[in-house]
Amino acid sequence: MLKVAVKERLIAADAIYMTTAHKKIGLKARALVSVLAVLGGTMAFGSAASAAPTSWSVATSDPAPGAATTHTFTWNGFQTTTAARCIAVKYSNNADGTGYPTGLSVGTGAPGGTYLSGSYTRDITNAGTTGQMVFNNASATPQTAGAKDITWSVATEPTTAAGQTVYVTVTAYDTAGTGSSGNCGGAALESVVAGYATTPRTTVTAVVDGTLTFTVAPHSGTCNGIGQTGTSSPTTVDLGHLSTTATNFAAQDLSVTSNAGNGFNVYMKSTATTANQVFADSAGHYIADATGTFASPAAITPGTAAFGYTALGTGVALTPGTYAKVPTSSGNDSVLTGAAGVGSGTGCVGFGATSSATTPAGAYSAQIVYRAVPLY
Amino acid sequence: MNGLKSEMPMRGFMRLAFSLFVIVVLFDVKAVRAEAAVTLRVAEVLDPRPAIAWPVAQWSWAGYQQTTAVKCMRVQFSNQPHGDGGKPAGLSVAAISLAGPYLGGAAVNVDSTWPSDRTLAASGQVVFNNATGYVPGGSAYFGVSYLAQASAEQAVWMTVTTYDQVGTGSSGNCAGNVLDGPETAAFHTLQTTQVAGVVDPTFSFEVDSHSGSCNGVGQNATAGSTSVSLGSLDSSSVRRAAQSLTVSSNAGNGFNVYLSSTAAAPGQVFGDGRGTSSPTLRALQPRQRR
Repeated sequence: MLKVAVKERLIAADAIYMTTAHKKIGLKARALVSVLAVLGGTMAFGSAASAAPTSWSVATSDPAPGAATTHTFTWNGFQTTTAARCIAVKYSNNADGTGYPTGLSVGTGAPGGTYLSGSYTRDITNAGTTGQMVFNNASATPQTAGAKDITWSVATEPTTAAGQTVYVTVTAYDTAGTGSSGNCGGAALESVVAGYATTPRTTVTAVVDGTLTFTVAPHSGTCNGIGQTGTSSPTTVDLGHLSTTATNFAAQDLSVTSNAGNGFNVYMKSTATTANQVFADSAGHYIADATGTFASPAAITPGTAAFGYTALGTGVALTPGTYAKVPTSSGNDSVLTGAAGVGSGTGCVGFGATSSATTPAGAYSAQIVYRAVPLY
Repeated sequence: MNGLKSEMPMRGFMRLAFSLFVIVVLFDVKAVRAEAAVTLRVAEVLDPRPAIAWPVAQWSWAGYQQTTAVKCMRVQFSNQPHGDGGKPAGLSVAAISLAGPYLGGAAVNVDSTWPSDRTLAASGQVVFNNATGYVPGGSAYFGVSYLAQASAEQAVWMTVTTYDQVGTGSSGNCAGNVLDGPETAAFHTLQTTQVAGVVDPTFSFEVDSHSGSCNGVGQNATAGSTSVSLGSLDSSSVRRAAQSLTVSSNAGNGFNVYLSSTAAAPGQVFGDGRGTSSPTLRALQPRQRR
């Protein structure tokens, strides 16, 4: 007797259980039985009639349309008296085996699984036209009872974007197929129809808005090892009255808070356009730049007129007690910096100056520009 | 936008061009992605001071699509990310200029080919249209120079969206499909810091006796810090004595030492009443500034 079993698909791309018959598919299956019966009794499953699969299912590891995946067919209650030396697996749009799922590519490679005794080869000669491939092993032995599975790779799931139901008819035969015929030989032992559904992946999206705050505040205590002699506010640094015997010093605190994922920089420069003219009085006199640079800071010697800065903070640490020249308007020194994943940081920037005996009397000043640049 | 050229001061344009040149050097995005996925967004201003005229805001990014022609680009400034929170107070895009190679292939002004539609400028939004369009390449940045910066110290959010169709008329919006965006990044306006220091004036002036010749003339009399005694004069020689003067100061604008006598009339300086003269020395630091 030909035995065709179908069941209801419960969830996408997964198991079909024996417990609930799908009425519509069942009707189609019964129709298929009728057709096959009319065509002839050769489809009766001979000696295996004493066994009847009690449960079966097919599952895909990735139900997304077009995905490369692995299919696992599991069944139980199959016959155990005759070796299944050829297993035909046929994909279709309908339970009766008709229709070829658009875009399906069954792939290549040997199948695996606990149902297979010995090494089976995959013959996909007809897979591209009829949707059927067969697994052959001419020396297979009868299988033992219990839940067993067959697994095989699938190059591409059907590509219908909205997803679809895919039927898989698995039929065991007692004789391996000949060569690359794409078919099994001998007589069918038993057959079941399972199914799964392809389902578009769900894309979950959300936006985390960017954040940015940047503040400048007076600094208290030492900055990079240098004690303050002057005072500061968010917009001023007052070094007081310079002398030839000391280096006057005062500092500000910088703080950047952001969620920039690619890091950040705080750049510092002056508005002066010419080097050594950064710290100037209104009469056109200048206190020269410190000799050190950001890359190679150096101490300021009291009595040798110089103006510079030091910095210590996130990602930046000049040698303690040393100074660098303040960049002109065309330059930039990064006084705080965060690498990728570091969007926030704090630090101090301090300014120092000393005069010489020949430094012209006057009120000197420099305009300092801080720029916070988060990299979102 | 042609009209805007005259509105935009040359200084602003030069700053824009220069800043873009800097970016050419500093920002080199070489990655070309087959599938657009913006991975980096940066907005910055070279001069962060609030309320300045014609600030230059520079936008750079990575991972944008490079296959379809951009025909419209929307730029919006706002108080919060993604165009939310309204336009920052004081910020004005009522006049704006676009430059940079992202939409033109050259690091120069592209105003003429990407005229702006500022219909929605009151909300901080401007779109730049080009019916022919331009497929972005590896040059990942552009700059806009606009009429006025936000008047307060704050984070200013810049949001950029590109489209495959130009906007219709003076809608203030682009049309068609979004190619990239909306992508958003921020810069922060901030006052400059003034660093100040004072160099106090120094000054000393001394008069001493002089030794040796003075200006090629040998001495045959004596002098102290407050006196010069020429001794007994006669008709056969010239009596000579000298003093040394020393001025020390940090006067930035120079100095003078003046000499005068107390006599009221010429020819009566060296009088015989007491047989002495009383010259006065004055050292001055002219126009000393503090």
